[in-house]
Amino acid sequence: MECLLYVLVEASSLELRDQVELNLSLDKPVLEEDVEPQWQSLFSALEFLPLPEQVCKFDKCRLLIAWAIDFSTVPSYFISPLVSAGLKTLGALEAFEDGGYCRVSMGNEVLKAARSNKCREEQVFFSPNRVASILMA
Amino acid sequence: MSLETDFIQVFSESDSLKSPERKAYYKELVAFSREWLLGLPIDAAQHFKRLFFEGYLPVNRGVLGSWEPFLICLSAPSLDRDYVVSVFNQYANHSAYDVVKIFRVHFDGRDRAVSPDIISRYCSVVESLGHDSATWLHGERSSGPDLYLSFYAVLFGALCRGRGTAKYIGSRLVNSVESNFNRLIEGVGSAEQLTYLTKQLTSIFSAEVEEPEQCYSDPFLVGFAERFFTCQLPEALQGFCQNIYAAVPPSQRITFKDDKIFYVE
Repeated sequence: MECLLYVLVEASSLELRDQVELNLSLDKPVLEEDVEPQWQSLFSALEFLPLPEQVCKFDKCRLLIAWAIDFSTVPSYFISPLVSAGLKTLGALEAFEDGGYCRVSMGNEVLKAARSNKCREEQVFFSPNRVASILMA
Repeated sequence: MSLETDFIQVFSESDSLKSPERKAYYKELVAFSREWLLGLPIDAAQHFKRLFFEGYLPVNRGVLGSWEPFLICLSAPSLDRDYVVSVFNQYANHSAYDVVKIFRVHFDGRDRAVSPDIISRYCSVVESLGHDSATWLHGERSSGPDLYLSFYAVLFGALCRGRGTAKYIGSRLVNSVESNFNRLIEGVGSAEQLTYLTKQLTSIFSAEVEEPEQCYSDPFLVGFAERFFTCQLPEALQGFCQNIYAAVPPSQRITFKDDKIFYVE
């Protein structure tokens, strides 16, 4: 069964959001020497983060990012670099292809972001808009 | 711990590893890996990048999963058969099998939206892994020989369906497959390939093909016909083909004269 980790983040500016989007795409810069100085720390934060399956833009400089994951992967592996890149994490959930989702508990420290027992049966795997509305609520 | 004790140098480190051309190629490889090399470890990106731009891999092999030897070959500043074989011979046989099998199923004779540089290297890797010095071919119950027999057989299948053979890697493997036919037919799944080959050769020998004009002027088939009709194929293959040819009614058989194949419509 496929599983997607959806993470909703908010950037402090459109410029930052666009840079994040770029650095989560195949068009991302290759080496730090190719990056303008003001974006080098963002580049370093996201350099080795696996490329996501989807990135959806929402208003207020928000991005919903989805990675295909397996159960051996902890959510913080994906969420921590986003925070290091200067993004505010609004929420995350794991959606299952066969239906249902579970919220990711952020706790006080993003590094401890983990699966929670807050689960629902609703099918949201294929519906980023619905995921975004759940995470914004 | 020092770099020297934790990592081995796979390529010679030089500025040329970071050239603009290599950076562009790296992006293409990342896209290719993402689409085709399923099951790469989650932290593969950092190891792959260090390999590509600095030429190093950790001493403990396998950080790039079973794709490691393939990615080494795709990333190497230059590539030749001995290099490909020496790299793959250091890894488990299934690494080579997976690489060749994916090519056979998804790439051979097809137009894929993959960079020509990668396709060219991929072809070189597949061609090299068919050489007798590649140990994976000699493993117990290896299916490797079947894949190479299959590369050859699909050439005839393509001809029967009115397609040219130039886009198939089998056209580059003709000498290797024909000269090793004896060994290849001992593969665990060779019976299936030989049945397929028999069917296609029967159609070709009896001119029951979709586009005869194109088929019988194909450079590969003309060369094959010359070797067959002048009995220059290796003995086992010559005998195999002669049995198929003899089973075709004489009035329907193709013939060969003055470098041309003649057929009855």
